[in-house]
Parts: sequence; structure tokens; C-alpha cells
Amino acid sequence: MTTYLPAIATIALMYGALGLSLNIQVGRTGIINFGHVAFFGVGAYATALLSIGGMSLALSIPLATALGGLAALPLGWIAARLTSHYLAIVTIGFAEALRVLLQNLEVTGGPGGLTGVPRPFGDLAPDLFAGIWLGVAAALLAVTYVMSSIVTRGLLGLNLSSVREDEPAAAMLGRNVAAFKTMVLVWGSALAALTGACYAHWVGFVSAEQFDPRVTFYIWAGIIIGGASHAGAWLGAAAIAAVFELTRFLSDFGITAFTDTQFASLRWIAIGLILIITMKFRPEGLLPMRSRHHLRDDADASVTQPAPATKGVPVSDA
Amino acid sequence: MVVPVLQALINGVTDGMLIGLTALGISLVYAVQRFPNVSQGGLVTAGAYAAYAFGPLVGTWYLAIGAGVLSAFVLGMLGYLIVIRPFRTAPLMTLLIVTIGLEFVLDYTVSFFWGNSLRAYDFGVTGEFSVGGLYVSRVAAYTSLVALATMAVVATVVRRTRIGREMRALSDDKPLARVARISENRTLMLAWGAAGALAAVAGICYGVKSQLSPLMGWNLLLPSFAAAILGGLGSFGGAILGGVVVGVGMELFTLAMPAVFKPIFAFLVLTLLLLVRPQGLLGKAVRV
Repeated sequence: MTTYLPAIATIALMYGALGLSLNIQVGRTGIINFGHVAFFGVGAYATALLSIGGMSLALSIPLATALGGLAALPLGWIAARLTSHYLAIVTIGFAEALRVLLQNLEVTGGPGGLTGVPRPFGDLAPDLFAGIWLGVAAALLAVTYVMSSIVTRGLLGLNLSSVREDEPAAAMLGRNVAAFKTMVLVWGSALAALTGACYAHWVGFVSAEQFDPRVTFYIWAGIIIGGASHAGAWLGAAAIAAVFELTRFLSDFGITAFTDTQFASLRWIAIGLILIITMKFRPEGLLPMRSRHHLRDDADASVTQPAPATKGVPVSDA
Repeated sequence: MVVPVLQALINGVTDGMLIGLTALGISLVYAVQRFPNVSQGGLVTAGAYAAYAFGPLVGTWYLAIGAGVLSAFVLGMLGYLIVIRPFRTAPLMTLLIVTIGLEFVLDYTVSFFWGNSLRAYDFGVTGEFSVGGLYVSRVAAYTSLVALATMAVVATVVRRTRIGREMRALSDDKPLARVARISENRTLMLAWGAAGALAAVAGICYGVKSQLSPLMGWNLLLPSFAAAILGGLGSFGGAILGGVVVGVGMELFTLAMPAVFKPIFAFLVLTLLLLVRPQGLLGKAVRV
């Protein structure tokens, strides 16, 4: 198992990066994106196709990142027109539609996916390879951290918070809510695509199963338990990934009560329970932002429950 | 050209009935609680596997179906009491996340006990009816009849019984329903039970028609949401109509595109509808 530890750490750090890029949408702006993993997939497939076609990685990875951001533009357009729970259903449908597309198009290799994606450092000794990639993943996390901080600090960050806290008020105060939503969707999705691109070059193949829409909820569970601060988001997502990867080795320790399939099921049951129990007992997560409101979608609540000023006026159901 | 289109219509209607049943469960919970219930897919899977599990125990297939539907009814009520009730006053988004959690717990409890391999009921319904070059399998015909009968039962319960009246009252005007001393808790619990029973009927029909897998409910969710929204969330007749329209649409879509791309059609319908006509075909005006 110890030989796998660097690989587990690499996966955990990549999940941490995904947690950060999802958190700027969910935790900071209040956009409920259930399709985050789709953009991870866009990045991975894009760089795989480009680099197999002969493009150098120095070009294909930035292009894949940009493509991931572009793919989020339609969602941004939709986000401006729907309230958050309908948008949530659309995002999960988007992820499912994209998975079906990638899994069945000839150009993306069909159900088998694409093999032979260039693996930098692949001809080095396995230990050295694992070590270098652990470093790459740490650098990726650091880059994502900086890129996420850029949009959440200063005036821009305050604007995003205003969209999360009270969308109608933000709009009334002249904030272009639709533009902020689109921007943060594009930004977060581009970062997810960057992680996807690194992942593809690390493992050397891509397949649509890696991007099952359900994987998004791994990251969700991570940021919900972690909280909306950057540290909470990445630590939460990385911890969930690390713990779950480690459970694959339980049989090495003589715990053989369950088969591998059953362990996989147990992991998902745990994800479900984490979502339910955290929402009940600590909806703000373990490391919330230093502000009064957290993951709880207060903007949404203000739509469904009449605000004091509108009491007595019938409010249509959201 | 006419025959394949007519055949696609027939297949679409029989598929759409089952989508409509799932959508009906979603609409039922939406009517009384005003939120889209994602765990309906998990109830479909659990109901179908419950009937599968009871099969060898009770011997005859109709008893197995009855036991499956009954246990899904109880499961729906338990799901409400244990998981949903603590969040009754929580924001919509919390409920959405919690029902996704419930969906995972249900789906993967099934896959924990029965594994991921496909399973089939052994009810011995085979063969098909044919009229003038058009075919409908016996299974599809029977499941459609079952779906129609179930819808009739739901319509009767909602229109004619006391609990149905209470559900409608709660759906129309919650504060007024409270003043009229309608127990919100009891009504919601029964609505969840009914959603579970509906899910089981849909799941069992689906399982008889094709196969059982832990993902069956999850895969039905996307077309069912499209159907429920097409019909207007909270409208019962609309859910069924929406199911048939989505089912037929997906079949017609496969005339032009490979069948594996069906979910993309469901996604497009869902998204376009939300943008263009969020209140659906029969629904009251809603804000989205």
C-alpha cells in the first residue's frame, strides 16, 4: 500500500483543486452547480485529443483550460434566467448529456475512451514519476488557490457575496448579477478543466466513466463538510478523496468482510449520509467563512418566504 | 416511412407511461412541499428490488408485486419521517441536497446487497401483439395498462378521498390549510408514502419490461424531471401527459439519432422548457 501513498496524495490534491473551483461558485456566489465534473471531463478530453494529435502539452493544456471555460458559457446564460434549484437540475442534466456524448462519439473513442495520452516523465522510475507528479498536483492546487482567491477578494469578492446573500438587492443596487454568475461559472469551470487536463496526462488515458455526473457529489460532500472558506473547500474535498482512496486498501489489513463492489457501495452510502447529516447538524461546514451567512442558500429562502417588506402581498411560489 | 414512425409512437407511449408514473411521484411531492424531489429515483430502484427480493419468499408474482409496493410505501413514509421531516422548514437548496443524499443512500444500499449486475423478474410474460405490421410486446401492453390503472387510482384518491382533499388544500394554500386544522405532518408523510408506492409501480413495470439495475431509478430521473416540468410541476394530469410526450419524443429522436443519445434529448427538452415555458403545458404560473 505504501507504494500507492504518493498516488493517493496526488488524487487528493487534485480533488482539493476541484473543491476550490466548485466552492467559488457554490460557497461564494451561491450558484448550485451539480455538473462540475463535466468541465473536468472537457479539460481531460480536450488535452487528450489535442496532444494525441501531436500538439505540445504547453499548448494543449492552456487550450483545454480555455475550452472548459467556454463550455460553461451556455450555463451562465441559463443561470441568468432560472432560480437556483431549477439551474441545479439543468447542471446535472448537462453533465449527464455531456457524459453520454463523450461516451458514444467516435472521435472521443466511444465507451473505451482514449488511450495513449502522453505522460510526461512516464519513462522515469516509478518512484520518481510518482514524486514528480505529487509535486505537479501540489503546484496545481496552489495555482487553483491563487486563481480562486483572485475572484473572491476585494470588490469583486464582495459583489459575488452580494449575489449569494440577496440577489434581488444586489440587482437593485445596480450589480449585474447575470454577468457575475456567468463569470464565476466560466472561471471555476476553466479551473476544473485545468485539473482535468493534468489528470489526463497523469493517468495516460481518459474515459467517460471518470466523469460520471455522480462524481460531482464527492466534491460536494467535501466542500459541504469543509465549509465555504478556501481552506475548508480544498481540505474537505482532499480529505474525502484521501479517505475513500485509502478504503480501497482495507483488504490489505485483513478486513475482508465486504467485496470491492460492496466497498464502493459503502463509499457512496457514506457520501449520501455526509450530505444529509452535515446539512442537519453543521450546514456551514467545519471551516466556514468569517461571515454570518454560509452555504445555506439565503438568497433562495428570501424568494420563497416573503421578505418583511412584502408581507401580505402574495408571492408566487418559486 | 409511416410504419417506423407509428411504431416509434407506440414504443414512445408505452415508455412514456412509466416516465409519467415516476414524474407523477415527483409532482405529488412538489404539490404538497414545493420542492423537486431527487430521491424519487432511489425509491424507484428500491421498490423494484423489494419486489424482486420478495419473489422467492412469497411464491407468486402478484404477491411479490404487492409486497414490493407496500414496502416502498412504508419506505417513502420512513424517508419522510427520518430524513425529510427535520428539514421541513429548511431552504429549498438544503432539501435538494438532502434528497440527493437520500438518493445515494437508497441506490447504493440496493447495490450493496444485490451488486451491480443486471437482474430480471421471472414473471413469464413474453410474446407480442401485432396489428398490420406494428408490434407491441405483451409486457409493454400490460405495463401500460398497469400504469393507466395506477393513474386512475391516484386521480380517485386525490379527487374523492379525505387525504386527497387535504393534499390539495395544502398544495393550494398552506396557511389556510393549517387554519383548517389539516395535519401538515400526516399529509406530507402520506404523500411521501404515495410517492414511494408510485415509484415502486414504475420500477417494477420498468424491471418487467427490461431489466433491474441499481442505476435504473437514477437513469429515469432526467426524463422524469423533463416530464414533470413539461406537464407543470404539481399538476398530476400534466405529469402523465408530459411523460408520454417525452417518451414519444425520445423514440422519434431515435429515428434520426442513435438510441444512446436519448438522455441528450431529455436534457434539451428540460432546459428549453425551463427557459421558454416554465409553467409547463397544464401548470399554473410559476417563477423559476
